[in-house]
Amino acid sequence: MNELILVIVALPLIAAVIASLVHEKSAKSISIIGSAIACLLSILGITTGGTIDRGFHHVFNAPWLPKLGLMFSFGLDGMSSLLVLLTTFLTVIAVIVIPAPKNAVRAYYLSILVAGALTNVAFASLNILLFYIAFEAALIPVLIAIGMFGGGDRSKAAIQFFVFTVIGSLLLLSAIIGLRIATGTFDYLTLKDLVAAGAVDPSLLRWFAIASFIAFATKAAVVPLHAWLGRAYINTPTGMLLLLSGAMAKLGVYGLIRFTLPLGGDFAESLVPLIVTLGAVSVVYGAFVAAAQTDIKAVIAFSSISHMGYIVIGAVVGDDAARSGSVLQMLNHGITTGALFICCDFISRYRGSRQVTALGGIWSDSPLFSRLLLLFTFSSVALPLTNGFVGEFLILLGAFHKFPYQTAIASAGAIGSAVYMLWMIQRSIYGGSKSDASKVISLGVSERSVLLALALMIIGIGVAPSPLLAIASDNGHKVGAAMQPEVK
Amino acid sequence: MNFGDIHAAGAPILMAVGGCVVLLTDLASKRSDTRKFGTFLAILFCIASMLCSYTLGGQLRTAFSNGIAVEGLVVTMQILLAAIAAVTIVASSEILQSFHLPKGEYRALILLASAGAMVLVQSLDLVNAFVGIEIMSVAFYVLAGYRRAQAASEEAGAKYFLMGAFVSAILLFGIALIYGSVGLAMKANGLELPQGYSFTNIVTISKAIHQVPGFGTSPLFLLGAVMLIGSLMFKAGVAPFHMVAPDVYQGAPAPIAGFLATTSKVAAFTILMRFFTILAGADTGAAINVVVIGLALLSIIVGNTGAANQKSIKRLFGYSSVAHGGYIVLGLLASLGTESQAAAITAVTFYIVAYAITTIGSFAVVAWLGKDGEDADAISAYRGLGKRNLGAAITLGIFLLSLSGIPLTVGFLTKLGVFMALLSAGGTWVAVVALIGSAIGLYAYLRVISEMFFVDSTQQETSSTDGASKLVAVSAATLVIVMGVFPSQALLPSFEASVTAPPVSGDEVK
Amino acid sequence: MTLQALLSGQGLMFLFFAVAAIASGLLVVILQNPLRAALSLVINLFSVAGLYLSLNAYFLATVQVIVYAGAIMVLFLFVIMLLNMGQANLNTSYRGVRTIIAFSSAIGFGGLMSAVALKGQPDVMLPADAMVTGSSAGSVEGIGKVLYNPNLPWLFAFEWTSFLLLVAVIGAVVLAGKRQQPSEDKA
Repeated sequence: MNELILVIVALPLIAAVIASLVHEKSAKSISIIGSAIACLLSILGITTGGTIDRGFHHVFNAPWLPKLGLMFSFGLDGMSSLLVLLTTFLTVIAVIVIPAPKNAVRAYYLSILVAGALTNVAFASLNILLFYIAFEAALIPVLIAIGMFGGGDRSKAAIQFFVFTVIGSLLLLSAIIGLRIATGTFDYLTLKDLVAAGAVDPSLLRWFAIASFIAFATKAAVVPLHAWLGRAYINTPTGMLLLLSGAMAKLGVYGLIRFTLPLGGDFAESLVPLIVTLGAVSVVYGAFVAAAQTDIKAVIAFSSISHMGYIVIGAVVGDDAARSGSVLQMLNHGITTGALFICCDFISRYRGSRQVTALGGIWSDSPLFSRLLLLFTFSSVALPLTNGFVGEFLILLGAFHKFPYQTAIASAGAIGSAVYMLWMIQRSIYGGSKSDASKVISLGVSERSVLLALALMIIGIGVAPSPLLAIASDNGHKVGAAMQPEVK
Repeated sequence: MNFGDIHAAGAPILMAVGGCVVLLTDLASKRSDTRKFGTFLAILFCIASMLCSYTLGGQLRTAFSNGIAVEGLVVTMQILLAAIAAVTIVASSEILQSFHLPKGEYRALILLASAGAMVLVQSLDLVNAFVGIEIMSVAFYVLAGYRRAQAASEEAGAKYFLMGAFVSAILLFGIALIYGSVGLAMKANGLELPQGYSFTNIVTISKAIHQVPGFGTSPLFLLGAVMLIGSLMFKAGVAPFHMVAPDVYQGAPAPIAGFLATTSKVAAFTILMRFFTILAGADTGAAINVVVIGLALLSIIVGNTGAANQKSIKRLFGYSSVAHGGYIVLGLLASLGTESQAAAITAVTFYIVAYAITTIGSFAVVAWLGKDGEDADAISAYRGLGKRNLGAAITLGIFLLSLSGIPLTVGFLTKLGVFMALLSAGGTWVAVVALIGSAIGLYAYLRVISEMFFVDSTQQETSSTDGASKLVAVSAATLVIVMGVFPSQALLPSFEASVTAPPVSGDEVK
Repeated sequence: MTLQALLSGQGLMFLFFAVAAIASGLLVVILQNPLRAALSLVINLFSVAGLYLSLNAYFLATVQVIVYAGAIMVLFLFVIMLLNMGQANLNTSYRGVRTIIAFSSAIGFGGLMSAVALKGQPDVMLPADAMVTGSSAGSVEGIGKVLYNPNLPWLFAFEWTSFLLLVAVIGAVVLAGKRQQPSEDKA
């Protein structure tokens, strides 16, 4: 079963290749089949199995370019298996729910499937060079999707997104090479042991901590490295946006937990107050900017900065509950934001506009859709009994006793954002219809079932989070923490 | 002199003989039949030259009284040079046909330029290197101005000639200074000049550097060395000697531009690598290091910023070649350290091979999309190409991604190799400046990608007829991906082992 | 190089020709009238021939005078006369940034060279030490024996020089040849 992750990565890729060869009509179904099987298989990844090595299961090793130290090394722990599951799941619903642009169906599915597969490689990789390659190569399909299928400002958005993120990752590359020269290996587990044993030059670790923080913070859009996000999210086609905001942005937080903190040595620990402060600033900043938007997609995009700020705080404070909450919240954010973006896509598709001022009357026109949208919004603002509440509560709980001021600021920002979110949704779905009655949002079977499934997940995680939390707590920061049955 | 000597020098000899044969058959036959036959004949000689190089194997052998030395590195480069010549001849059939340029002379010049480059690559004596570089350069001047009917081409040729002749004089001056300083130092210290070696032989210079105390920092030698390095850098198109490169690449027809950009770099960087291996570990003060770092960083910054705002794609590639020259020089810098030397030589060699493939391919796309032999030079001509000609757009996109060093293309591995060598030689801040340069370059390449795929255009479908360029471009793009994913399988099996063996050191002379 | 060494016969000869070569070389660049510039070049070539002579390289000196100062320069002058450029001044003005850069880099390079020569004082050889010696030194026979000896490194370069000439000839033919008419080989 060690090849599990290989299969999970390869299936969508194979499907993508086949889909790009066959007729446009069958491209969609082939893409769905490939990604759906991968999604089911990644549920298996959560369970312990296969070779186990220092807290990782399903460990797989094969040489790629051994001379350069580049290996196909994969392994999963609780955190990465959840994120792999999230990525494959988002891939499936992106393919199912969002129709491809008419002129380039195959290129569209190709870009989504490849982006998902490469993101999974990054999540599952135990070789930092492999991680880096996937981390950066995953940008290419996104670049293509934004540039070819994106909104009106797509060319500028694509270039800006790509240049920003690549500058960050180039720094990361230099730090990775530095580690390799000092230790002779790119292998994550070996490096982690060496760093823990104090066998690596602290100045190098300091550089690694700074460089990797910049790279990952850019990816997670932490203020002030968020500048690419607004234009990119607004112009990204929704299918790719599910992956970009739901899975790839998580690579940033994942990188902080997986690489920056364990491999950054003491200096990374001393960075924590700064990161937490930046996270709190992100929460407030995201809320303020979101409040100034009239485009629903922009509101969701900027509220994403807020949420990611929270997740980053939880990831770095060094508290087990907060970190587990942060991992869980990554999952939640992927589901909730994905659901909101899907709804936003429906609205703009049927109503022809995403401007709050031009909407209204959806509640009476499309009752089921409106109620689901309201539920997703509740989850986004972390109302109790929704999944968002569990994650944010755990983060606050863990962070509060270490960084009370920052946490207080962050919570205040979150409350402000919640108020605005609800008000926006209220304005756009209640009230009289400002558009033709013919533009009723009518959901098809597949669309309806996807939205219902998302809603079920939101409530399910909100009511009974413990199984997922148990898995999320296995994030490499506690020795022997694999598969604890219960979290205190 | 014996058969072994001829065999060692065989690759350039075959190319030169090929040049003569092609020229004579062109004279003897009627004009219209020579197109296919001349191409075939020229390629035959290129293949013969490759085979000759290949049979030499990886071990070191010297010939012609130690005037030349052949080992793995040289074999690799000679094969690469012959391949570049063959590909150029294949890709140029279209422009020769469209503009009614003299064909025999063209092929002969390509073969002879390649022969000159091979002489340069294999020479151990700087005098031979000079003769080689002159053969190559003179042919280059003519090729750059080959399309005489077009003013830009003529201008390119004239500019290239004037600057090139000036630099050749400096190169010769530098060699003369080295000759003088080595001779003086050896005489003053009672060192014997071994039989068959001259004072300009790299081995003799190495002996002087490593055995005469204080020689490495003597001003006469340093001035000579800096002039030698500087003029070779000009031949490779490194800043600040790059002024002429974008003009030449824009003026010359695309296949020739690709030929000039790659052959000159392969040849000049290989001989520089040889020269640097003897400087490694020697006390040459800070002068050479400072000069080399300065040149490298200047090229990276100038090349990448210059590329960022171009309207002409050939000029963009011209500036990009300046920038990539800078990265190669960074690798050479790493080869100055004794510990990082082996890794640096492998990295630089791989970089040169990969760069040659990418550049030839990029220029082939420019020729492929051209109409009636006229290159598709304006970047605006690429607007919406993804809708009109998806294959060409993807091919060019692969080259652009490779040039910007994105993973899964060969450009990433080359950059990785150079940075690994550089960082292990301790050049941290140099690497950081180089990374910033890469980011600027990324923008330049992305602009073209964005024009091709992200911008709609009303331009009509261009029907291209240049099948040869298409073949070259597509196979180069395939190589870029294959080498980016599985470099070890794509290269010659003996590549790594032979290249990492240090070429020639001072220990040869007992 | 000590002052005493310079004042010997050899030294004086070197000094004379060296100063003449540099001065005439400068004049080639500075003079506005093409005819005068060409004549300065003749003096320059003669001075270099003189330097060769002082090093015992008779044959080289003779070739220098016959081929360069004689044949090639005569052709130069011929072209200048034919184009009636004798009276025309070359359009060069010694003003502006370019001139400043040119002069300052010339002075800088000259200074660098002198600094190197002075700093490396004990190393620098007297002209007498650089003389070619031996019974057939400097003659046609002596040069031939060096150039064609397979045990010396020069044979390789010498043979390749012929290809250099070939390339130059091809280039000259291509660039100077008649421009082909588009209709010529349409077939």
